[in-house]
Amino acid sequence: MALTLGHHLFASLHQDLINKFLKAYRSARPKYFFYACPPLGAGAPSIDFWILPPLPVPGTNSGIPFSVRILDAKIDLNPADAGLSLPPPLTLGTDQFAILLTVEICFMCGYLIEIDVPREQFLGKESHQPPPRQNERPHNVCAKLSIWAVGRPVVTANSAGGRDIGLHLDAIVVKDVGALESLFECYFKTMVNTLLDAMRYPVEQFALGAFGSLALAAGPTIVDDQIKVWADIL
Amino acid sequence: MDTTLAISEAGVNTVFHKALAGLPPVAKTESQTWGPFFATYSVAVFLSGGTASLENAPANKLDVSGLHISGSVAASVGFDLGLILPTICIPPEPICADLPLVGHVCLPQFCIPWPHASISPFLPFSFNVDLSFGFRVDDLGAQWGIDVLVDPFSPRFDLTPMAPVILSQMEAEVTSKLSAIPGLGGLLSGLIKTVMDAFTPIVDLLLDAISGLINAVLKTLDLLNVSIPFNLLKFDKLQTFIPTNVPLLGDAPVKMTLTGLTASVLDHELVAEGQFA
Repeated sequence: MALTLGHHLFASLHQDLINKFLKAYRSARPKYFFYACPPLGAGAPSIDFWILPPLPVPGTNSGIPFSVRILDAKIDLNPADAGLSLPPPLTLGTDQFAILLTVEICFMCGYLIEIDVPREQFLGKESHQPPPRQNERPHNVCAKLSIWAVGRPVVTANSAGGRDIGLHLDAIVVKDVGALESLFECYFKTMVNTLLDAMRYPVEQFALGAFGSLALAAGPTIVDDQIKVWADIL
Repeated sequence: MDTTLAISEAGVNTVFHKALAGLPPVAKTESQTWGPFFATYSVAVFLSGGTASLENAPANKLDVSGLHISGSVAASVGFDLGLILPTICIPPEPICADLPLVGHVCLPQFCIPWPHASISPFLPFSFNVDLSFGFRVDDLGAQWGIDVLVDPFSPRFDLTPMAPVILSQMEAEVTSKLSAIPGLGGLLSGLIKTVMDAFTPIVDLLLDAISGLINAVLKTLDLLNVSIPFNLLKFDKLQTFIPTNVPLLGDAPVKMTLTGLTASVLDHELVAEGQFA
């Protein structure tokens, strides 16, 4: 069966390539997979890790260093791989992808960093608030979370006048976090969607620079473990 | 395979015609001498048009029917009339006499100085060829190339319509040059006939030579050379998936290496499959 379906050009990216791309992206831009307040970061700030401010501790003018690191990420395009087991209520539907993430969150307990909190600073001038006591020796406390999510391909106009194709999460599940589940799901859905936005790919630039000017005609759509697009040569 | 690219026959036609449009014009010049006649001729050739179709594997062929080959011949053909025409003098023979007291005296003799005749005809030509190409993937160093290699073919074209153009221009030139010489009178038509009788067989030789030059010019085109692959598409081995500074200033480019590429024809589409590392 013809692949081009009446267009000049058909292009598909297999999920194996998408996962290789994730690795290449992580290798070229490690900071998108590691967000940390500097005491917890490793390597060069803004290159090896994305600088986060400390997490404010209520009632203080201080924050506790914390980090969020994506240890592992794998994408599975529809249809689901044999080993894929999505927790309910997630299902991998038509034109969808699943992403599995292992995320590590760390706090550096016993270590506070003074931060600007404007209103409280102002009040502090009238009645100076002593810094919180730190009796503990600084130590890292970490937890690993398993995250499952499903989403769909999207296409958006880019600043170069072309189109970017990308992925966007529709639903996410974070298990084994008890009552915090919905909070974590909100937090990580926002974070992962921001990461996926940074990975949008200018489709007209795809290898098809070889063809001169292209116009995206249809897609992207996910089927047969591939993201497929159709284009016409101008 | 990590990625698949398929191009329809319509897409291949677009790519092929873009490739044709990008070909630089080619030209060649040669000179020949046949007895008193000399000729210099330049041939310029342009390719356009044609309809591409794809033959499925295992043939894996690109067939192009009606590829239009057009061009022109800029020729310069000339000779000295004196190398063809007899010497004509008045009087025909020197008239001399030994006169007393004066000595040996000859009447003045005037011999016609035959001029040089030359023409510069511009001779357009065009013809179509049907070609068949095999697909291949070539390692071009920093790129992979999907190339085509033409199967042996014999271009057939007929230059005989050029003959009357050359002959009529030459006859007009010779007539003009001889008519300008006073005193030829009744000799004129005979002289013209003498020249044209000598020149007419040369036209066939000239057209053969021009045919040879057209064939030589066609062989200089990679597209029509049976031993030189012609590049249809190129893909960088190091593909930039996300450029520098996107989305944030300072972001490094995300690149992946296209380690292998195959090309074949399936369902009348050119299908390329690539593997990345």
